[in-house]
Amino acid sequence: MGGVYLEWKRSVAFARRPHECGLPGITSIRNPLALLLVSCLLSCAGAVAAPSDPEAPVSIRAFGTLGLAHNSTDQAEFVRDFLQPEGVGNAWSGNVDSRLGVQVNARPTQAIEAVIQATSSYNYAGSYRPELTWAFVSYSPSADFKARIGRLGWDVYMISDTRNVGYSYLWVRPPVDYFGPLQISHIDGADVVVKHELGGGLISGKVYMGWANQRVPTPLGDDIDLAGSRVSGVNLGFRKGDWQLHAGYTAARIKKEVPGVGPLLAALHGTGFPGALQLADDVAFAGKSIHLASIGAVFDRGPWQSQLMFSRNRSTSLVWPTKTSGYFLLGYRTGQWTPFLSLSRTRSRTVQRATGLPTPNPLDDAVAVTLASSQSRQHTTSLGVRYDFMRNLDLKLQVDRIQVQDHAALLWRNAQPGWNGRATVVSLTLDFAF
Amino acid sequence: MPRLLQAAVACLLTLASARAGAELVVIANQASGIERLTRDEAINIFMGRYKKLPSGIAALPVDEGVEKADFYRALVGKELPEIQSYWARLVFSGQGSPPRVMDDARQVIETVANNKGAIGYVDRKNVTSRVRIILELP
Repeated sequence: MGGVYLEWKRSVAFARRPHECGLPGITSIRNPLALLLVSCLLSCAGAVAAPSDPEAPVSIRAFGTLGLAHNSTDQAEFVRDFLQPEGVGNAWSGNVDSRLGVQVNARPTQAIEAVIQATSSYNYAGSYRPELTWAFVSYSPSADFKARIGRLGWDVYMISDTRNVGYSYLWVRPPVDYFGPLQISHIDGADVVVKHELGGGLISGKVYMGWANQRVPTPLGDDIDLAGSRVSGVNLGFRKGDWQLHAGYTAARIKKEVPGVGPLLAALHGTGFPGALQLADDVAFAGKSIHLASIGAVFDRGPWQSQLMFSRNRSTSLVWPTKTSGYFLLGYRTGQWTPFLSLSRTRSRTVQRATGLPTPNPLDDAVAVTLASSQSRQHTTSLGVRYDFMRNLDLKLQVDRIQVQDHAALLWRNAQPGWNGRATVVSLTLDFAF
Repeated sequence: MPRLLQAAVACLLTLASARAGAELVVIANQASGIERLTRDEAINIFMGRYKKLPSGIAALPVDEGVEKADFYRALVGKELPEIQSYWARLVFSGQGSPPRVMDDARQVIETVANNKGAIGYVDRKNVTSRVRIILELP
């Protein structure tokens, strides 16, 4: 499939003169409709882009990853992030990391651009059903100002809006301890970016607001529906020489309840007991806010690249206890090979609450189970290598040693009670971006 | 002279002569309103961070297929796969597109001569009076 998109991109990029608008290499597209569409796009691009136009009016690009991951334990399933309903146990799986994205950019004038991106990965539906991940129009009258409206990737942490694009980073996948708990990948809304040259560097500020529109699988039962949850945030960046600094703050207001806690809330309310009613209010997710703050630094000089990030993910609901997470990455390129080391960890605050009803009682037991399943405490040491063996293609091998503490396994699926919390995940991926 | 030193000198001379074959210069339009560009400004423009010329007009950088690897090695000390990887991050987060790649120096000069904000790079020996040199890369 990747080969087809490769040819699309090439054809668009190379079709500079109108008389060169043939269909080089697109013999693999058998669908006549697709062929018609492609040739139409090509003739548009070819007709508008004169040889000396500095910018192409239309471009089609794709990225993707073919991945295999192996988990050493059969006591818990490893997932890449919170959006995957099930993961890999003691076996090899292609579902953890494999994904494909296609993007079309159109630039009718120098100031206006339209971008559409669809991505397919193993998601909440337990399938590769494609999702529209980006669809926006941007307006940028000058380099200092850009406004975008439509569907936008969630730029909550540095690189969070390109965490699907394996070709853009060193790891096989961004650190699960840090990015794994992110429930949202895109929002429907708008953002504004302003940039200013300052002291030989570049300072940038971004404000965004929108509404989430997606479903998230949960260990508590039915999917969480985040539709209608309002998300807004601000990011500040400073870039000078080899250094880049980042700070961000986002608030999300959850609209709908987690279906899995519905019965528990009903039971708590059913008692009519003040302590239980208060607890139901504190457990409820609907109407609560999540606050995400992050700071980080990137150093990038010659063959060296390094990142250090910290975040605090706080909420006013007991089912989303406050988490502090961080990661460190160090890579050094030598020829086509870039070995790297990555360390990451996350800790959620322990929460213990009871109804105040005479113990033992089944309600307090149910509350304890729910609160325990919301906990995540783990750290990961990763060693890997990226091999840039061909233009637009890389191969990666990565070994993760993961230790989960206190059975706080929110970032896993089907963790067994007897699990000692240790796992070694070996991953092999092929990434491309054209 | 010890043999090892001789070999080293010979090696350096060969490298130097190979480099002398392509002395890369950044060029702009005669009406761009700029005489010079600093290295940091060139990095901001070619890496898509801040596409504005010091004179205030929008910068339109273009790449050149043959010299591209040498240019980015000289500008930011990065190899082409790293540059591609860097752009993948920007492109797929809707932050912009990489400079368009021109076939040869002639086409770069043609583009720069015809677009007020366009800037490119060529081997110094290809520079014509239709464009002006704004930065020399060692």
